[in-house]
Amino acid sequence: MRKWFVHDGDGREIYLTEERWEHIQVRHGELKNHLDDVLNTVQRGKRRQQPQDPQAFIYRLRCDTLRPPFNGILVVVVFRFESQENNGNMIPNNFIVRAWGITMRQ
Amino acid sequence: MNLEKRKLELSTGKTAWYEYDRDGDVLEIIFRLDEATGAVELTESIILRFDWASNEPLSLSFISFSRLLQANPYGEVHFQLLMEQWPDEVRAKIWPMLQRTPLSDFLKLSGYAPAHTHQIIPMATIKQPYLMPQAA
Repeated sequence: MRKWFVHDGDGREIYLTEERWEHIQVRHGELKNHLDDVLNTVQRGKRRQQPQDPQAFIYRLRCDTLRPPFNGILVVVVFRFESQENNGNMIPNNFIVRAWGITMRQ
Repeated sequence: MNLEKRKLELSTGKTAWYEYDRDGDVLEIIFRLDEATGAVELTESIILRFDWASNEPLSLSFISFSRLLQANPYGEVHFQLLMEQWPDEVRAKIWPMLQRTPLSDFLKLSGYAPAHTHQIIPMATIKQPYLMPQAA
């Protein structure tokens, strides 16, 4: 299963699995064939912590290549930890959960 | 992906689909499996996808869902509707949509009047009965 890795504006490594990307494209057809724009939203978008969940963040960026009236992309990223199999050390596990095309005020 | 799926019967007798992503803590309530022609952030944690032509909602997504329903000492939590972020033509579609089923089965509208101002801030609370996890 493929994974795409990007770094956000503050250098945090975040990945998107092929399984989640397929799910996003099936459910949110406005993002079909817009993988680069979704990843770009994480790289360059404005980041906002979810008020109820300190481990979840929204990345949001204007995107004028989507079909109207969509003009922006919103990506949910969770920042978790997982233990390494060989030594039990905790390492970051930051991944894209979901993405939507949205209609934003100009 | 670890998805919990089930059917929901709405107050109108129609069926919706409940799909909870346990790893990502995102719940999506799907009213109709169709390609959206519009979508907005209703609140910081709720996304609405809809059909632009018919003004019908297609799905509601709840981000960090398990946290949204957590108890607090003050009773119901009211989430601010992000109306200022909706373009005017979208606002004209969304507001009536929020006031009727199926969205009114899941969200209750209200207004918050902060002290020392005449401004009323539109809010929504999440109606829980359809959304609570089912016993195994």
